[in-house]
Amino acid sequence: MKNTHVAGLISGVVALFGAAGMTQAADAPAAAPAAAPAGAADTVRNRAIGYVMVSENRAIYETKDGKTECPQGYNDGPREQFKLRNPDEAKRTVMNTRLSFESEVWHPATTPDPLPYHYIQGNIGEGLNLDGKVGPNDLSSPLGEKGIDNNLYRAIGCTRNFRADGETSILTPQWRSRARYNTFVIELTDVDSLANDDDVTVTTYRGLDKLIADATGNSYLPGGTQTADMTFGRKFIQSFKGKIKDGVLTTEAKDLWMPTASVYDPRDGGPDTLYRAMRFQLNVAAKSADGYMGGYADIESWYYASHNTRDALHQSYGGTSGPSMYRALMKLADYAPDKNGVNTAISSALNVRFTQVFVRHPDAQVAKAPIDTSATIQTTGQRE
Amino acid sequence: MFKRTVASCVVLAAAVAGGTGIAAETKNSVLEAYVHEPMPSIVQVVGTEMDGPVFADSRGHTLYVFGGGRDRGGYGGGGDPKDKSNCHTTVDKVTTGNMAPWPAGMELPDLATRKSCAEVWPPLYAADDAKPVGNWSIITRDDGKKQWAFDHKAVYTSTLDQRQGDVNGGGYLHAQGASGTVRTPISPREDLPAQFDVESMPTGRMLTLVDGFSVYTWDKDGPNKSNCDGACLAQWKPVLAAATAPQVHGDWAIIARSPGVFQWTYRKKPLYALNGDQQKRSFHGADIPGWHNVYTTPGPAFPKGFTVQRNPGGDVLADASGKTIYIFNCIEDAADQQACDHPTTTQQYRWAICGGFDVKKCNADFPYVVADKNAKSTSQIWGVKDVDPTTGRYVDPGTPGSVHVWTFRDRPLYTFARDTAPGDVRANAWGEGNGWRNGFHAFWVREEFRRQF
Amino acid sequence: MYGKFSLVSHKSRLFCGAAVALAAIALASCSAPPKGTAAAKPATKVASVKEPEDAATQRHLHLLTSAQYLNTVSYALGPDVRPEAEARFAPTVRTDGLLQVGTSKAGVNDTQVEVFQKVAVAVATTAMDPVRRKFLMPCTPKDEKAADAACASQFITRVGKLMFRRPLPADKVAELVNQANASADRLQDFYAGLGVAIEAILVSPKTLFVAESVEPDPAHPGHLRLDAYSLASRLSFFLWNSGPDEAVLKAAETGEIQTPKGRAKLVEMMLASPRLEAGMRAFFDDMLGFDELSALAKDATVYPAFTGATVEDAHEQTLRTMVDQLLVKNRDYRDLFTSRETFLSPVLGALYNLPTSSDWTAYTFPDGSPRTGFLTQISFLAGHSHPGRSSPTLRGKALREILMCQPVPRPPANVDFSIVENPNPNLHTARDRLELHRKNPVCAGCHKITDPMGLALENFDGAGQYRDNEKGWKIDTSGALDGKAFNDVIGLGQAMHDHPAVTSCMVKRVFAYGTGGSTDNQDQEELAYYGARFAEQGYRLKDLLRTVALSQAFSTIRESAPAEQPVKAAEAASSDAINAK
Repeated sequence: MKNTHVAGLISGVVALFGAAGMTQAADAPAAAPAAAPAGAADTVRNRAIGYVMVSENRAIYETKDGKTECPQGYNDGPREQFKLRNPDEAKRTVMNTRLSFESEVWHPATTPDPLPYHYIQGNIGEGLNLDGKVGPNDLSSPLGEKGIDNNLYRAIGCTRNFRADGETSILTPQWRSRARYNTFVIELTDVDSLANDDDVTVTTYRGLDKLIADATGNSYLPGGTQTADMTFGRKFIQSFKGKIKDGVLTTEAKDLWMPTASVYDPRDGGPDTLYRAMRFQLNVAAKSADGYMGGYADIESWYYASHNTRDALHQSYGGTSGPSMYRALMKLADYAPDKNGVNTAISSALNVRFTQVFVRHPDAQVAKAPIDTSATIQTTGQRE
Repeated sequence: MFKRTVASCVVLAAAVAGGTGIAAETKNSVLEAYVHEPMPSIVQVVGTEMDGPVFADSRGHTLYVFGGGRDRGGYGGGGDPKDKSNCHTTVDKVTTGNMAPWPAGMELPDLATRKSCAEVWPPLYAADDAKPVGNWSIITRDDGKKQWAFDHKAVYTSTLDQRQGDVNGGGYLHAQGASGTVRTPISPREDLPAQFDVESMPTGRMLTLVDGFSVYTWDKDGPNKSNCDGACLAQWKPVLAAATAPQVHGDWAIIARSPGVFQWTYRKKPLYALNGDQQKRSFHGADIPGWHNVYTTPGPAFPKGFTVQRNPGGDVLADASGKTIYIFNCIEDAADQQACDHPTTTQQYRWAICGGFDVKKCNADFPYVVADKNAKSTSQIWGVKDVDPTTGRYVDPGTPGSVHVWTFRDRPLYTFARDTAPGDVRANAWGEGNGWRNGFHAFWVREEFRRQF
Repeated sequence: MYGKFSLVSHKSRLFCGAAVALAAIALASCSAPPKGTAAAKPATKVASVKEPEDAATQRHLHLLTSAQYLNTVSYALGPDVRPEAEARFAPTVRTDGLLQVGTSKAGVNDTQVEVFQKVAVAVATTAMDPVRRKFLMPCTPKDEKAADAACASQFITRVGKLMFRRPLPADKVAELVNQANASADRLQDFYAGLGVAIEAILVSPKTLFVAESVEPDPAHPGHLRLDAYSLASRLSFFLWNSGPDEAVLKAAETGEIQTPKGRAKLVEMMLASPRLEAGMRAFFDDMLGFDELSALAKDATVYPAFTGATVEDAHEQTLRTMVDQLLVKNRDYRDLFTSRETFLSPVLGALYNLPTSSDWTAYTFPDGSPRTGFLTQISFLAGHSHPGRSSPTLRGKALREILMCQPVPRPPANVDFSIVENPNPNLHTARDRLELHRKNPVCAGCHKITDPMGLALENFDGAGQYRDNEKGWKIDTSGALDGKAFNDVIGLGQAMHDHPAVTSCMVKRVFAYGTGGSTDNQDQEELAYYGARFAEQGYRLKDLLRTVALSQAFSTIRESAPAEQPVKAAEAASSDAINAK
């Protein structure tokens, strides 16, 4: 329900801290109030709850050995295509192999692919119904839900990098949990109940704090704190109206930038990834949330982010050829036509997991005030 | 309302008025104290703008060693082994396979004009009667000639350096990461207490603790007097010194905070660390009014009219219109791992990456940063030159069809056409090896999420 | 080479054995409620209490702890000259609740001598590093490749004084300078030669052992007192956990330290110094047994939130709380048991289920929160639990032993623990299990003393996380402390706050820590005096420290026979060891 008492977008936890930090005992909640029902969602404080993403994967439906959805096998990457593109070993030069291939990676074409490329076969897939329709080309979920829009899956589902045992699938969760640049936080506000609430707001942020690993080293603990990046990360702030029904949060669709930098070196990246008409469908609970984020991946940002963060060597680990993949993405693009009528985005879904965190807004004034461009950059003038 | 404001807040602009007000007259003067140690008579120490004091030959040309890059998993390798030069007078013609996934044995581009390593990196030859001194030793090259070595690494000059204080052969903001093995200037040790270190940053030679965390000074302190007490100490940690240390040593002094508790000062300013500083070489303490990072040597002024733009990765240097400025990095997969990032080297790598071998597209997508006709650099590391955009080569000023461009370390700078809003960095890490091996990287002034090294 | 050190260690053991008499005030029997000590009596008519006229302590010979050694070295030679890895001295035996007391019983074996040697080499090498020495040496040798007696002498005199904690006699300086010169000439390196002399200083028993010297006390004819430098050391290790600095040594040199006014001025300066925090951290580390936290581990499957980082931060949380409450805010010591003010780190936030900032932040638990007093901090709760479950008994025992100075006997060897350890579907909570366990009369006596206190902490699991039920069964936290009943942990905190043994125990620990020896019956009147002063001054730690540091007992020595021999023998052995290098 709409909170009429707390003005502004950032409710709840802002009031908890105020601008002065954490020493205001009067506003603080009980540590573990005896009054709270056992096991209750005491992580909802001041009608707000936050979560930090611990894992993100493209929603890829896989059968054993992939033979059902990829009957012709998996796609070739740079190493395999190197041989196909330059069969005569004696004539291979830097110019006609490496630089020729890389020139196409960075300046991809939509002309027909001279090399074989495998798309997903069949009509089973994961994700969300993005357009609200059930069309003839839509996928059905493994549980039979119709109308799923996920052409990204069709385009890259037979590329090993994106499958469960591929490097990207193994590393992508780490991008979110290990690289501070990529820390992705959502905060639900105006929350009366995590079970049913017909009016909540979901706001996304880049978080600035390390996630807290548990004792097993395999997971991240709920109950940590994430500082919302209000200085450098404003690009990632977006708010969505939503509702919770039977513990499932769904939201409206809006464009959303997600931070995307290399897990190896955060300097490698920064173009970030734009999802058009992104929306959430998450099972939300006191300590965790999981489910889908679905939207249309802006192909330019998605494609380049995937290459700026992983070079040809890493693409080779999982059979990813940029030039071939780009053609596939553009072929199956189904959203946001440009002035020439060419679609520039492709339906997609992310399989995501979050753990609960408290969201700290370091300066409530900044959070509440209209964000403008008057902030001062302190850096370059600060010299002795 | 919120959505609208968010959309407009992505970019923060701040003009770098007059190039940040940093003293321009730093040319060739040695501003940073260093340890004077024995060295060959033909070697001297000269000051540089961004790399601190470096060793130079008798002409004042900077000396380099080949090594210190990363040797991991096919990313680079190479460099000179101990007491040996692999920089020969013969021309390398094929790849070594050090830049995976590409194999060895492939012909290198523009072989007809490719120079030998020794032509590009002239060895610092030793006279027949030269004797080893201090950290300097003498090695014998394959052709029997004697060459100086520093810490057992063969020493060279760079043909790209023309003046005393040039460090165009390598240095900070040059190829890193997956680039390959870079040439690095060699320097005398900084004359610092062991608790401190100096790191070259775009903003200057930054003084840090030896573990890399920034030190700061405070406006409210007096000369050699700390006024940081009580609540101030909850946030700031004085950098303490030994009880037996002498009170003054060059720029350094020790003050008693209270009886028996001593604090370092640098140029009479007491030094502090920020409790909970989030990363090494951080600027966060200096975001707090009255507090500053500390530089042994301030960075040279950015060219007039350049701006600094904010984005999710930090602050980048930009042109007057706010377009992010990029540096092109390139190193060849050859045994000598020559750079290919300069107008005097092959342009094929850049053509491939910036325009798919289409020179016109390259110049359209990655245009040079054009300088005003009368633009002048106030520093040595920034410059203006004329370049023929069809060849990528420098040409004489006023040559028809040439473009008057800004340079950094004698290399042209670029913007990216698809960057539409100030602060956009769509070409950051663009190219091979995440933009380090053959590609573009934004000119970061402040990296908020930089790798901890 | 180290043969003579064995002799030293033998003698030091003899010395210690003869000097110390244990006086543990154990609970005579678990069948009766524990009795307080003499000082535990409510402090009434405090103004009339004066220090006993014959107040005195024994003098001690004790080995520096690793921390004391490193603090002294890094103070003298720089904060970065601190070879933690090398300076792992053998652990001492906790005696009368304190490791510090155990250091006066520590002997030295060959392995330890090797450790001393290694750490000395590490320190000397680091200090003489070309970069470091430039900013450390008060002089520059005329020729770096040769001996320079004058320059060596300057440095040796200065460092030696800080390490030996008294000026070096001229012959000792000469001996060390000769050593430096000989090595410099042999190695053609002034600094290498000086390094050898520094090593000699560092391995000297005069550095490693605090050997208290006495002199006749002019104010009390027929009695002895610590000499000025020994008093300086006793004060400095007590308050700063480090050797005395130049100012303290100066007060010894001028004799000011031996005058009431001079000593008072000096103690005020020491109490006002930021170094007091390090000293009190060391004291609480010792008193609370935090050395055992380094080995604390939990079952990751039961407590996944409890990690190595948790232990580190829980330790820090309690020390920060102590420093803030007792030093910065100068609060009543007893309020530690009821205060809701503490500090949180991001890692602790996850266990306390609380938002934090990105770094340590002050935090106050709200009224009504069960987190009240430092007993409800993770360091205490998890530190006195089993790896996979809480333990009312261990917690109760810790309350008695650590905070009330009431030792609880160990369980009999033949006790049957199966009831508390094995799952029994009919025993739902720890209370149920312990109740049944107490039906065994062998166990009942002691458990009656520990469990009613420990059960009040059952709202916190073995990792210190809050819970209101155990596997769905509501937890009953009622209990009692020596007749005072309470319903929950808030009541327990208040009962501890009001219990006289809590403050008398603090007095006893501070006194024993400061003077380096166990307390015994002879000290009871003195302890009563401190206790009364403590009460009169509102139970402020700084006041207690001042009272002890300025007391007659602190500087007056009870025994009369000198015990210099072991130190002299040790020093001779040390010189031999260095010369043999």
